[in-house]
Amino acid sequence: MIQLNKLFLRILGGIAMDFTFLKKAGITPENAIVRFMGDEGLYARMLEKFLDDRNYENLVAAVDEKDEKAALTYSHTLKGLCGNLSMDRLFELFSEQVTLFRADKDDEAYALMKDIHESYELAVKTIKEWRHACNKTDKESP
Amino acid sequence: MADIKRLLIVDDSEIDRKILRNILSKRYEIAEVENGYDALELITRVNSNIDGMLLDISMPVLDGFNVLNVMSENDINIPVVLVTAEATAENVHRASHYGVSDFISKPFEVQTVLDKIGKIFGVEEAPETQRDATKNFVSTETYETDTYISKLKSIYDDFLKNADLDPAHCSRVSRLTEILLIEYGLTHKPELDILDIKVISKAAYFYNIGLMGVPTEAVANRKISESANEIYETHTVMGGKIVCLNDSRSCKYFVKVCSDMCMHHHERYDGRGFPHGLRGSDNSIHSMVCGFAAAFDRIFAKRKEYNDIQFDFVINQLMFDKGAFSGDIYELAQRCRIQIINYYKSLN
Repeated sequence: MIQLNKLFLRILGGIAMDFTFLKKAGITPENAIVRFMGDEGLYARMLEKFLDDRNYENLVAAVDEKDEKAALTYSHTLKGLCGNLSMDRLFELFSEQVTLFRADKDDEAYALMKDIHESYELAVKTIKEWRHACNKTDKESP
Repeated sequence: MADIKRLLIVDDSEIDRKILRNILSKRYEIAEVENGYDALELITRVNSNIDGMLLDISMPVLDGFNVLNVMSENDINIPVVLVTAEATAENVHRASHYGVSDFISKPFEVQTVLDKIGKIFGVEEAPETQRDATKNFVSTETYETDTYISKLKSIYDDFLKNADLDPAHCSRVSRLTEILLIEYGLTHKPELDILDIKVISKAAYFYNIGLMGVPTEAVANRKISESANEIYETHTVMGGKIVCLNDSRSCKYFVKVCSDMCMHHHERYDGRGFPHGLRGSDNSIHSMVCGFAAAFDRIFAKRKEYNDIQFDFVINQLMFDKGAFSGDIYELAQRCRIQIINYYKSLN
């Protein structure tokens, strides 16, 4: 909670943030910031929101239950979400999964979950590390 | 002072709502709701004064099409722009029944969003100087692709003019490719994105650009000289190479489909085409459609009238060359018959 508040102070204070750290998770922050009209603070807040988003858990549950209709809905939502946050790797994977569901290739769509899981976990881990790094830099600042 | 229009953003994703709000809030007053029920509740309120709606198609609680249905049944007429991660041909077709104003795709492109909403409310385009200032906010992909297409077209049109070739043929091939691929999307591949079809049809304009790299004598003598014909056939590979000179990541999709059409528009369904003798579905659907569009236009455009009789005549002429195109392509053309005939009529 303290970490979160510090990040928000950083955002509100308009302190430039280093987003390059996010690139290792297949995220292209420069493209996202263009979409956010140059508002880095808003982008940072939306990355925080992504960590709270429940669509991925819902997708996993739908896949476990072999409910392809629900899985398609969640995958489709995640496609849009990841596209808007310029999470390119995840966007590609969800795009592929949606295409496979639409083509009734459910087994192939389910098989993509392994890659999706890896990329999603990496994205979440990287965003958390990035948030931590932002706060650490704050602490070290004079 | 012009009154400020009030827009309602309907999307279950808070992130997507915030992005749209951020893009539009300098020019419009914004309201947000997260599902279709709340949207209907708001727009039917007496004093809501909603002038337009950006409506997400896929929402867990009353989706976009259900909202449109209720609006249609209750005669609620406000401009609606559908928001989706997939502007598939099927969605476009469904939306057309409700008189939807336009589509906005996710991920959002700032200038596209502003332009599409501005067009509905007659908001003037930003003057050139302002546009330069906001250029950084335009999607890099769209901006660079359009710039590349514009430069390529300028060079290619000069060549066509000097070589006494007809640029109108290229325009017609482009439009025919679009008509046929939209129908293909509706009947065969609902996931085919309408925005991808737009890019593919723009790319079809350049299908013969490889002729720029072939001596004019070889083109002129290809039917009487085997060696000239061999040189002429290299225009396919040459076209692919010319288009691929742009290796920008932003233009990747355009370059991919355009070079593919340049390379493979002379392939035949029976595998006896060139340069690679691709058989059947080994060739891409857009290259097959582009090749068909080019062959069709060469005969149909010269007819004195554009009607069913002339259309059938051309199809029969093409079918006479057995194995050139698949039966699916002919079926596709038959389903687009009225649209194609009307398109040619509109050119007169």
